[in-house]
Amino acid sequence: MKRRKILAVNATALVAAAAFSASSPVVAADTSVQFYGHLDLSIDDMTKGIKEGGAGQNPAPVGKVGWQADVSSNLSYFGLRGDHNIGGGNRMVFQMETQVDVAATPGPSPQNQASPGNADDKVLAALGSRNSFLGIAGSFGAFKLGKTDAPYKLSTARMDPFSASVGDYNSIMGNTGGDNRAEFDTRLSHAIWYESNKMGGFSWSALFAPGQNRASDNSFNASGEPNCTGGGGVGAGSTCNDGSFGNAFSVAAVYEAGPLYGIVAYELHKDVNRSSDDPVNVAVGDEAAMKVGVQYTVASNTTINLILERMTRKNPNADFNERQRNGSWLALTQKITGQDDLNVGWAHAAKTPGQPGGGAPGQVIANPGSVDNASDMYTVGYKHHFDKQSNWYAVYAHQANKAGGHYDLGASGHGITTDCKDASGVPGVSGSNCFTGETLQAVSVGWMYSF
Amino acid sequence: MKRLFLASLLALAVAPSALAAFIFRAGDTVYVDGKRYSWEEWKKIRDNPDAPTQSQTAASAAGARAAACTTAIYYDEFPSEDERFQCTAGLGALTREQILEKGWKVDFVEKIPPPNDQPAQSPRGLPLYLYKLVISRYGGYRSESPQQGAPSSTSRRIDTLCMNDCLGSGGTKELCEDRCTY
Repeated sequence: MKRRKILAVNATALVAAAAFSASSPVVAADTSVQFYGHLDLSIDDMTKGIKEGGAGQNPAPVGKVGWQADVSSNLSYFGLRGDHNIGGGNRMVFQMETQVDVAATPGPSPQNQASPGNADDKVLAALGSRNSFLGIAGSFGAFKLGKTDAPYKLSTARMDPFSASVGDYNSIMGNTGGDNRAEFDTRLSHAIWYESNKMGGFSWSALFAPGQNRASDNSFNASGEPNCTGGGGVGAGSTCNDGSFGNAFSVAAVYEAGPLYGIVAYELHKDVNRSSDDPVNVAVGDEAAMKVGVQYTVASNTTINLILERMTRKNPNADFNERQRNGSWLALTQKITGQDDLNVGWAHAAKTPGQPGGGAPGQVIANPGSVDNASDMYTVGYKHHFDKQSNWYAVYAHQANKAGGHYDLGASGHGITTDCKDASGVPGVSGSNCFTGETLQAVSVGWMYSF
Repeated sequence: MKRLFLASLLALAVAPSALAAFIFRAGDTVYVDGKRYSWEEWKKIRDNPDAPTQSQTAASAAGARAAACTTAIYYDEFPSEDERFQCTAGLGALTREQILEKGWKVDFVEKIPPPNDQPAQSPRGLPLYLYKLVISRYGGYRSESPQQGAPSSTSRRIDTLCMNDCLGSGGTKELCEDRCTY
């Protein structure tokens, strides 16, 4: 309530100051502030496709695991950004951006909707939850401090015409083990980064986020943070042992000229603690990702996107390693008219060297070792642009997992996601079963407006 | 809280406007020291803060410091940044970025409707125009010091991460360029 009051007061002050100050001609623009935002709401119907038996040799599921309708707010946000002239051709630049849970009630983030005890303490709709920073920009480029989507993530964001929809490419891309955490499609808090200016068609950016963790195995929350770095639990009072990492580095180089947009990107997470999978054979190890991507627009009407990605983990025992694999994304946007687009996409996750086990007795993932956990996601969508700020869309997505695969739909953006879990868990006591080899499907119709 | 409000109000209201113009933008509306503009109007003023008078323009044109660049075809919206304009003064076909790189600045944009015997509207039902950029080169005719005369447009840059974030969340290129320029 207090935060809301302050916001309201400052907004009033801005408007009042603008109204009362002299309306003389502007000679030099000293301070510029912009209020902007994006709203994306959809009506969905999704199924986890979970059933007894099948390729995953799954147990009988508990609860409702078939089609479920929902109303979802998908990466809706608003923000203030601006700059202030400090002379010498330099500007202070800033941004404060916040997610807005338009359809749901704001609160701590659910890691998956079937395991109500498995939540973290991030409040995504809290002030400043999205990319926020203060920096200096000039002829040298820009240095910024704060939090941001990593350069690795942003370098290919424009190559996903299904972003934040049920067919978002992050069900597989940047997503090492499936589930709804795309480890390499991440926002990094407490970070410092550099963005070059465009040099012809070339530009690059690099980010460093210190681990700032007092535990040698990164099993605490990072200092100043409410949650384990990388998600996977709350840390305080428990242990960050499900993907918590230390220092993070991210770099991306971009070339853009006419119809061509190409990138090379790399990201490293140091000492990723996954000892909850196995304290000896998985334990703590570096994880990295690299990718190349090309977007090419043919004759203004057809845009082709291709990304090839390689993710690695230095795992003590390869048989337990489910975090190392290749992935790819191929998408095509065809303009049907000046206002209508048809989009199709295919994401592929290759098999990993192994997996840590831990599934229910009898499942193909019951014991560690090699298993075919590849997966393919196919998606098709239609988008009608009312104008440059608004559109409506329809998307269908189909995630086909091999016997040991448990990739989901809607990771990294869609408000309501699916996952591999049934409702067998007991809140605060035990987790739910994860079903593998299932085929998930979703349809979604929504609209978005940006200002 | 009241004190915070009054302090904010006072600090902003008493700032000398010539030195500390405060610009607030929400959507297509821009407030500049209390005066309201459309975003398009403000962009022209912002990018051309000390536009030469008519007589100055004529003088500079005589010294080959002005030119015009026109699209080759008709558009129902402002052409994207990779479109080339046919320019006078021997400049050839240039994109907007190339025009700026060569030291020219855009003084204003003129929309030229098609002649009567050609379609006036696009299939989208929007009016068609040729877009003509009137450009000039810095230096020579200004009386200000070089520092004063330095146009703000030369320091405007795209925030590349913002641009990718905006495009990635479904924003159009035009919308994202407007949002991510500083």
